[in-house]
Amino acid sequence: MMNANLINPFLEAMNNVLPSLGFKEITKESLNLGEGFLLSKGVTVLIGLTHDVQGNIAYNMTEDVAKKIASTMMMGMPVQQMDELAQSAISELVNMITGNAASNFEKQGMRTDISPPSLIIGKDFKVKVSSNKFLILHLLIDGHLLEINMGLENK
Amino acid sequence: MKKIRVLIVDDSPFSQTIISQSLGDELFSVCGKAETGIEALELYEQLQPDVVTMDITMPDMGGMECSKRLLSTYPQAKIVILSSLKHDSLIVQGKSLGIAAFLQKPVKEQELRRTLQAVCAEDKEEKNWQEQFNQNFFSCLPIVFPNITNLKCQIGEAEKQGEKIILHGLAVIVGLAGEKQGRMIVNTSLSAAEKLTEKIFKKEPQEEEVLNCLSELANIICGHIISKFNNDMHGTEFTITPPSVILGENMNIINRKFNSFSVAIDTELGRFNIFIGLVGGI
Repeated sequence: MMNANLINPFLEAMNNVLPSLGFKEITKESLNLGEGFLLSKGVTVLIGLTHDVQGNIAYNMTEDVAKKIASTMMMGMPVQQMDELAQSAISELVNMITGNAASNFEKQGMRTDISPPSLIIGKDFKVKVSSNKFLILHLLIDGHLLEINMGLENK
Repeated sequence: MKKIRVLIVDDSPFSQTIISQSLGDELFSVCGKAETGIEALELYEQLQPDVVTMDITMPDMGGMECSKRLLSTYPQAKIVILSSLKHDSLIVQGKSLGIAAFLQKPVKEQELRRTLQAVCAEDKEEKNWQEQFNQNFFSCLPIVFPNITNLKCQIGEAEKQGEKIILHGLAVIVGLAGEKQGRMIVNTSLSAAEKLTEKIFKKEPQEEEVLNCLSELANIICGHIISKFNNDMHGTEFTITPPSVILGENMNIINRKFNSFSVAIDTELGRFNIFIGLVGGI
């Protein structure tokens, strides 16, 4: 079963990673339960976890938000297009947040390994994280909506 | 033993001297020194060094810009940034570009030598490892896939893929974690997946069952191949993360810095494409 306690290491990871990349305000907007497929907002990054914490996370955002986040990460460099540099900035962000969360799990004695992120860009595609039920966390990062869909279980 | 050839890019003669003093011996040779970005690009082309040490601030262009230009022409270039600044956003930007490592000035001699050596050695070790992995994968696939699906299969040649692949229909992604990282994707049309599920379940399947069937198929294929690989390569502990599914008409999947291959498998139910990739140089 999905355990809500699995969220805290991620919130902690956001607070560890995001400020060091130049983001100022991180607000938790809402937490809901999702089921089945989720609809991509345009840019979705999938990353898997294994060992004591198992499952998948889909980081979901619009292309506009992805460009704004990438721009902040590049010290304010304007990002007009979702080009290679912006794509890798977003992949790197997901890698850093999930990697940081994995070390937070380790600190609690739960061994966790992560897969590399897969960045998916497209129109009207659907995603199913490994479990049928998952948690949907809405975060506002400097006013931009990042949706984090977590289908995780604690083995 | 062949010396590691280093190109030093730094506009300060003082830094150039310090760096080359740390490297002048039987392990390294400084093959060139550049004071500007333009000079660095020219010298790289001429000298083809094994590794570059790159300053961040230079008169004509920044070290980041210079690295970006260098890597766009020579994606395999090994660049180590030496900078007095070392904040996270710089590292993120650099990693995105494909920079191999970051060091903060003043750099200790041992640290510099260790890093340059590691960056160059990694490349070779990585390549052997990947070759072995790919070989293993492609020798297992023609046995595992028909066995699991019970389909008559015509298996194509492995084709090299770039960082971006375009998918249509249904795709299952299985992550690889542990010592090395990667991912495998099984992609087919929704109708081929439906037919396969119907064949296995012996009844008209629900959408949920189709997704589960293809996920399980991907999971088993990957699991088989990985466990054989772990056995063959003693001491390797590769694990897989649970499958996730994507469904759509036009999906671009991007895996940065992946060495990736695809194989097309034609069956009586339609075509299945398998993509396998590991993080690492080419």
